[in-house]
Formats: sequence, structure tokens, C-alpha cells
Amino acid sequence: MAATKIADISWFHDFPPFFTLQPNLDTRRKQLDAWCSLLLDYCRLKKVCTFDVNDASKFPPFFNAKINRQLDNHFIQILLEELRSRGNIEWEDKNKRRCLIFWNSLEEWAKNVYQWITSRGMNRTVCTFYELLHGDDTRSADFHNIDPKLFRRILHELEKRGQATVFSENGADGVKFL
Amino acid sequence: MADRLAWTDGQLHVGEALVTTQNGVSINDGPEKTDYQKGSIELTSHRILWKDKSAQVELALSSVICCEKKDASIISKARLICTLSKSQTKRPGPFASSTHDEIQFEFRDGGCNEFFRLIQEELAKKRWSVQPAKPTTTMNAAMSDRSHRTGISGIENHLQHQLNVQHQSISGAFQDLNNLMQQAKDMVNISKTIANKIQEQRSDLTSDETIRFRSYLLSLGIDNPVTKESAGSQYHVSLAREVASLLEKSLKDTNGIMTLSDAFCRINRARGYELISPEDLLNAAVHMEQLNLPVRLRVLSSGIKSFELTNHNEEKDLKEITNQVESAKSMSADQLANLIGIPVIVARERLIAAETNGLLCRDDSIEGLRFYPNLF
Repeated sequence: MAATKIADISWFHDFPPFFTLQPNLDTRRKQLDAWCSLLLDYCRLKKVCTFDVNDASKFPPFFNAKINRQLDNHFIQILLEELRSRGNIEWEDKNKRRCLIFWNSLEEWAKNVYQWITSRGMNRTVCTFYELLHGDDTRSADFHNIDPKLFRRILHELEKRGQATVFSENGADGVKFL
Repeated sequence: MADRLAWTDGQLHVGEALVTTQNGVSINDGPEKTDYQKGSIELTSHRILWKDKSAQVELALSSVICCEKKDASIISKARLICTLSKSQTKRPGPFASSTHDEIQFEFRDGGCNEFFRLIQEELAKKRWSVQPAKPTTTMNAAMSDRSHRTGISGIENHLQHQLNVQHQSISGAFQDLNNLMQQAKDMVNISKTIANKIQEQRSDLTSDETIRFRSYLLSLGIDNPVTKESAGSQYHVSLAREVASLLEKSLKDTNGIMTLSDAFCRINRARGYELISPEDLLNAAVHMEQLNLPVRLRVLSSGIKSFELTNHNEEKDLKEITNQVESAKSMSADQLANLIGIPVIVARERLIAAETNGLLCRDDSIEGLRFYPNLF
């Protein structure tokens, strides 16, 4: 994957006002939409599944050295809350330090995974988490190399739908697709 | 009317001249004898003084309406009868009240004719009205000693005296200001005359000198400054009209909008005299819209009050500003102020107004507040 500049994902990133929370509410709406798209696209691209608020200042989308602009904490809070309300973020802890990022919704993920499995004809087979997440065979899959926590959530969702069973054996986690 | 007699110390006042003296004169209240017999009478330019061993009294010549001489008869010596006017202020004297309106001086030892002649002269000359006699300083000192000695009233008198002196010095100081205002009036009249002359083109100034002079006069001359006296309760309404006509011209130079403080300075400079207060301007301004004047008061979003032309089109103005920002890619308030020649406060307000209308968006960083065209 060639190094992608964030500005290629969203040209707004090079636009200085992008980093100032707009007081005009209509403008603000559009600004937040743009930010959410940018963040989710970035995370999808880089397979960023978790986020820690403490690392916010180092998170590439949140600053642009070229135009010498960065998001202040207030704006970051607002963005995270916006993402949460859209269902793209789930806080892991009460203090809102770490969160899981869903650039796809859980339903989408479940469908995505099950489809991939079915297209490979791997129904009624047992696989370990490891080989699914990191194995060479799954390199083309969207879920390749995603965070295990996220993967587990997806599989639980499939379980709920009766499309998979999750089990643990000898310390290794595995799943059987039905 | 013997109650016009007042105690005195017998000293002559400054500016008072002694005319004659006569001994052996008694005072009668009307025709009745009093306790004041056989004293010495003195006629001065201002008063009649009478004294004997026990008392000294005076009678102001200004209270004497007329004099008559009554010649000696079997029952009495020659008398001088003076008819007196009613007095307003009663000075302390030997008689608290009197039923007669004349006083009689009986000349036991003669000299009545001479005295009568001289008193007639003095009454004719009326030297007391030309130069009011002032008590001498010794008398003053004696007087003030007396008033100090009287304690609280003395202190009160002293304070009153201080107050009077202050009042006089303040009035004196403001006399100069009255002169100044008078001269300013003259200046305005002169400039008006010159303006008229120019209009009639009788002066030999060159054409651009004329134009220059006209432009000075335009900001100098108002025909009839509206004052509180001339307009009374309609003051603010008339003032509004006057202000509107003056500002209409100036507003064209300042891009159609001017803060109240700028307007205040220009208006007062133009008036020259009869200056208006900021309150007057504000009160006049609020009337402008109702009167359908070409200028009106407008409160900007930051709370600043300013004047604008009534036909000022807000949308057009904001579009203009947006175009300016676009051509410069981005702009800060002071850049805009410099560019179109309006105060920074107003420029900032305009940019924010454009932002509120969605035409611009802001970029707030440590580099300051800048505005960009709204590309969202």
C-alpha cells in the first residue's frame, strides 16, 4: 500500500478552517460530517480499531504540520461524541479513555465475515482466531489484521445470528461457521 | 419715621464727603419729642449723622423723599422736616417702629436755613446713588470683629462670604468661555459669508481653490444649529434631521457604515459651537428610523452602535466582502479594515456577519482569527 497522504482522503485536511470548530451551525454540521468521513476512512485504510484518548495528539488526522494546525481537546471530544452517537465508536471504559472503532457497523461486519467464509467454502469448518486474523489465506479480507477484540465482537454477533459458534480449546480461541 | 434711624459709629465711609455740621439739634419723631435732644448733626454726601454723649445714629439720604423748613415760632425753634420712604430692611436703631412717616430736626442753636439749603443740594446731587459709600476698613475690622465675636452666626457669615467669593470667581472664569463662544459664532458667520460669496462667484479664487474651500466649508458649516432653546421638546427630532443630513455625505466616504463615536466627533467638529452631548446624539439616533431619514442607527452583533445609510443593502455588502476575502484567499479583520477603509471593529463585525450568513468560515489559531470563503 503506497503511503497515502491524509489530504488525499479528504482535501479538507489542508484547509485551515477545518481545524476550528465553526460557530455557524450549518457550517458546523458539514464540518463534522467531513471529519467523521475522514476519520473512518483513515481507520479503514490503516486498520485502526482502537483509540486511546491519551494518544490523541499523535493521531495523524488530528494535526497537519504543513499548515501548522491541530485540533484542540475540546474539538476532539466533540468529534468522538459525534462518532459515538453515529455508532462508529464504543467506549470500553466509563472514563472514556479507550474505544473501539467501527468503520463498519457490527451488522455490516458480520455479513462481511460470513460472506467471505461462505465464498471460500469454509462453512462447517473450524478455524482458529489466529489463522483467520493473521493467516496468509485471509490477506485479502477486510478483517485481516484487525484488533482481536473487534473480531471477537463480530463473531459473537454471528453467534447471536446462529451463524457461528465460538469456543476455546487449549487456550486457543476458535470458531466454527455453520 | 424715626425707625429709619440706625446706630452708627460716626465714621465717614470711603467716598463719603462731609458737607456741614451743626450743634444743638434735637430729633423728633414726627412732631413728638424723643430722647435724643441737643446733639450735633452732620450732613454728608450720603447720610445725616447725629450724635450726642450717649448715642450716635445715622439716616441715609436715600431714604429721604423730601425736606421742608419750618420757621421758628413761639412754641418751637426752626425745624427741618424730612419725609422718609418706607424701608425694606430694618437696621438696628433706637426706634423699633414709628407711626409717623416724617422725622423732624429741631435746630435749637440756629443754622437751620443753611442746613436746609445744603441738604436740598445733596438731595439734588444724589451722590449716594452715583458712588455707593463703602465702609472704611477700620469700620470693617470693627464690624468683622463684632461678627466673629457673635460665634456661630459669625462662622456662618464667614462661610457665606467664602461662598460668595467662590461664586464670583467661577462666574468670572466662565465669562471667558462666553467670550470664546461668542467668537466662535463670529467665525461661523464669517465662513458663511465667504460661502455665500463663493456661491455668487464673486471672489477671485481659482477653481480648485474654490473646490477645496467648499469642501472645508462642507464639513464646517451648518446653517442653523438646532439647540435645545430653539426646538424645545422637538429637540431630538430636529437634531436627528440635522445629523442625518450631515452624515449622509460622510457615510459615502466610509463605505456606508460609521460608528457612533466617529459620527459624534464629526458632528461636533462641524457644529463648532452649541456642541451636543453623546446622549443627545444617541437619543436623536433612535428617532431616525421612524422619521424615514436617509441615515439610521444600527446595532451591530457585537453590540456596537453605528450609523448606516438606509438604502444600505446588507446582502450586497456581505457578498462584496466575501469576494474580497476570496480574492485574497483568506483575510483577517485588520486586513479587511485596511483594504476598504473602515474601523477594525466594524470590519470584524462584517466578517462575523458574513460567517453567520454562511458565506465565510473562520480559522482560529495562535496566528489569530482569519476568515476563509466557506468551502464546506
